[in-house]
Amino acid sequence: MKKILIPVILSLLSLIFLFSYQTGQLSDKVLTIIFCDVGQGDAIYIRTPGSIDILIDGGPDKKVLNCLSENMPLVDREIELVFATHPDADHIAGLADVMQSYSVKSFNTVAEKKKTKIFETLEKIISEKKIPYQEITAGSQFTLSDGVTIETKWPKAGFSSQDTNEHSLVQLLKFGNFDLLLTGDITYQILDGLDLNSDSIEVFKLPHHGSKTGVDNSTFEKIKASLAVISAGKNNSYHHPHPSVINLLKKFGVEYKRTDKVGSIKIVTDGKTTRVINN
Amino acid sequence: MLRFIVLLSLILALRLVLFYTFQDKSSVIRTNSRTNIKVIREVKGHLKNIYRSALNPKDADLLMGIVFGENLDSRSKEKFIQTGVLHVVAASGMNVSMLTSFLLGTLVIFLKRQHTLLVTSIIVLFYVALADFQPSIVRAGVMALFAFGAGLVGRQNTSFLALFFAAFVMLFWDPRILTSISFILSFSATLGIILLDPILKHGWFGHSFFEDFRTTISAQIATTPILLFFFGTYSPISIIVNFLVLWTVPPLMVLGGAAAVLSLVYETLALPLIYLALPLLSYFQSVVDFFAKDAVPIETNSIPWAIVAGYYLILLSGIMWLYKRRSEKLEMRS
Repeated sequence: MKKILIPVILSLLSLIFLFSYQTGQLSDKVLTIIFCDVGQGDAIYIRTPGSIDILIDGGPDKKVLNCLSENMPLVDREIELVFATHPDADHIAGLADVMQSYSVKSFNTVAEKKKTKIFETLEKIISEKKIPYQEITAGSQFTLSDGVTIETKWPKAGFSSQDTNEHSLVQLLKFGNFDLLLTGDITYQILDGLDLNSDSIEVFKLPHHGSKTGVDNSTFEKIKASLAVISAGKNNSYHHPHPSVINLLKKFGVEYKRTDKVGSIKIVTDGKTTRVINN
Repeated sequence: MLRFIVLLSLILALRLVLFYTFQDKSSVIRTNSRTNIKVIREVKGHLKNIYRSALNPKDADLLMGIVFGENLDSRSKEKFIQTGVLHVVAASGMNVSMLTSFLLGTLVIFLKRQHTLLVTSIIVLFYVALADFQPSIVRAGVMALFAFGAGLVGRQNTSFLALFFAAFVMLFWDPRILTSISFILSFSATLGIILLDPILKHGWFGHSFFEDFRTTISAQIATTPILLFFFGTYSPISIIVNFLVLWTVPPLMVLGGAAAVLSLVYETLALPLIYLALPLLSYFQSVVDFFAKDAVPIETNSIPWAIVAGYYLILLSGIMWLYKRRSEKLEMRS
């Protein structure tokens, strides 16, 4: 009996401690962004100062769950906003596991669909679990009570293209003076033509895992970013990020971080100052 | 007792000879080992959802593994193998012995002894099915029921006999299991614990604080050559990791098991218990994560069977010598 009772009491004490610690830490009113290391794919977890959980893409597999469990508070099992930037497997496959494991409060994506098994699985889970589903286009904006806004910049309604990447959501997240540009797998032809309405971008998630289709010279002439993040898998078969993209970053003096080199990348901001925390 | 063992051995030998003489070749091919009974599947799905409603998936899977021997995802599994704690989620026999002793202890208050045994057997059988009839669970189930049955007729100290009986039942049922590695490991580990633990108890590690340590060492002495023989790897770090995490297993089983039962009545009742399991699960995971980073397994290119056989002969003679010396000492004292 002692062998069970003592650990259970210990467990209860640490639960109380953990709970008060996390409550204290979360009252700091900061925005936390984690570019999860999910291999070759994208998964970005965001927790707002008002404890709203946001997930942008789910990566190619279950790995996203590890990232979520490491970064979400222990007893929080809800994700308020999920965005799927476009229907490619390296962005949405992990979302199936997320929706099975967490209670997802809303699922937002583009109108573009894809006839793949994983896409059908996602649709099935969404309808089975009755998850509120919405297709968003340029102009739709999410304004959260804690001052965070997420503005959709692309795709515009009625856009058509054979290339799924060109349908990717481009979003601008703002909190105080902090701006985060999220780009899915968008091409530079589209990105360069967007009116971002922002002087400086603190964090710029490079499109398409650092592929040369995502950015060009004029991208960096237009977007003045303090930090660029590349979400790519170690030794991936696509050889992302492309050397020409790295050269561009160096040329424009943009500091950058790569998930294939440093693992998950954590960024914390209070809307004024921003810190990058390496794992 | 000896006569009983000899008799069972003869029956078993006959069964094995007959089986392998008239073996139907098609039966060698084994299909999916997962239990495919609808009720079992549904109950399992329900329990998984309950655990996942309060825990992150990684912890939920670990709890499911500890209570029902469910499989982990490949990344976690790899880490558990590296640190030598996979046996915890491979439904160790501890689950069954705890379940059985709990059931027997409570049911005996309300029922006649024979009825208690019957009801317990049915529940244990259901549990064994939930755990996909994994050899270690079946072994433990047979052993626990046998030990209690023996208790009914007034016999004590029956663990060795119970183990032998369990092996007999399982091999008689399906002789192919003789070549199953999990069966071999499960039996040698249990035998190691039964024989070596009493010896270690009289040595330096007598204190109950070292109980998990003794269990680990006993099991490892008995299984390491088999592991090396079949897999060619062994991670020395597993002794430390096991010592650090094993104490969390019994409380986790109780919390997870009780939550499972309560959730069948009313789901919300289960939640406090699952939350209570959370710190223990996080601790378990962090220990495994921490040690998996620097685990360097010892690798050998297949060791010859003769060395393995020699090892066990020496081990057995050592054990027999120690037992003999101990009984001589006891005689001298009396």
